[in-house]
Amino acid sequence: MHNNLPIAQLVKQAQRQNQLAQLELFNRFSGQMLGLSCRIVGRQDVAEDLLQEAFVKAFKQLKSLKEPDRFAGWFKRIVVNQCMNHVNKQNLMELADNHTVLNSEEETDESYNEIDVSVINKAIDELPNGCRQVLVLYLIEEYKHKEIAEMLNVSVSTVKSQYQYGLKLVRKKVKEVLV
Amino acid sequence: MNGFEKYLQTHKKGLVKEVTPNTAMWSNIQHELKKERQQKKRYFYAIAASVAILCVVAGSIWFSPNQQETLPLSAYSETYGNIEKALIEDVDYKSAQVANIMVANNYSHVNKSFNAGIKKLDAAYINYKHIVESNGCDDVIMQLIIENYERKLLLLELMYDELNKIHSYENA
Repeated sequence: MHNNLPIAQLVKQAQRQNQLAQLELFNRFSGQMLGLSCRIVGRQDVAEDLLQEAFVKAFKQLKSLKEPDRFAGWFKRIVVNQCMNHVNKQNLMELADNHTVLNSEEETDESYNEIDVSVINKAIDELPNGCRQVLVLYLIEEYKHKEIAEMLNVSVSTVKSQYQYGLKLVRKKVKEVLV
Repeated sequence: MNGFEKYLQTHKKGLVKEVTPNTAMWSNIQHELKKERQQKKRYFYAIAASVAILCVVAGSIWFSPNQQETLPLSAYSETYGNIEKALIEDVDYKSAQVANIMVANNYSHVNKSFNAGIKKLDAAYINYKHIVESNGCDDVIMQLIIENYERKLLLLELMYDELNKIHSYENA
């Protein structure tokens, strides 16, 4: 019944406590948001708990969302905040020492067109906590360095260096697979 | 931005990870939301009950006759106000005694004539009170009100005696 409805209409119905609309929102967003949560916290069981809390929080606060077509961004912000609070509480932000990798890897003119994205995704998932969180939030979720720094309680320069470190590590892992 | 980073930027959509949540997640969410709704209901009922209790208390304070102030004779003189207050206490005490013995022994059918007399005295009292409130009190009205109380007290005493006699006869 709700499968073809645009998000804004679903949100309006969910704001009136329509459980089918809430379920449809859950079906449309849970997969991607769980993927994002897993990448931020690094463990699927924890990510599932956090996403569940985020959905409950979002449905409770849904009436405060004045522009229903902005649900996706609004909800992603709730999920990311939920995960970042967990990261900060559990002190999961491991800042890796990046100097060795930064100095040892130099960019060469290589063609990346043949790389399978699943290889890159696997490499991202295997990154250490700190640089994985920064890389995902900056590169994929398009957060700004400053926003990430505030969320992780670190400096902007730390975020930038962790991002560069993450990039280098991913490239290194991808190259290893290609060779 | 180096070549690799550019490549990642252009393939960003493919880097979005999807993970299927476990099947229990939706029912857990529903359960939490239901709990929240029930909690809200409980708060609502608690607030409604508090408001109702507050209204009853405020109403009982607002409408409860402050006897010393509202009794007709107290407006006329403090001394007669005190006499009236003492008479009311006697009447209340005797009424409670009569009510106890009637309820305990189911004598509601007895003493209908006494009840009729008391009702007449109550009606007369209300008339006296109206007169005092509109015209003020004089010695005549004051005397009538005191006699009204004394007759009522006498009727209640007679009623109580008769009920006691019936009770003694039945238990002999």
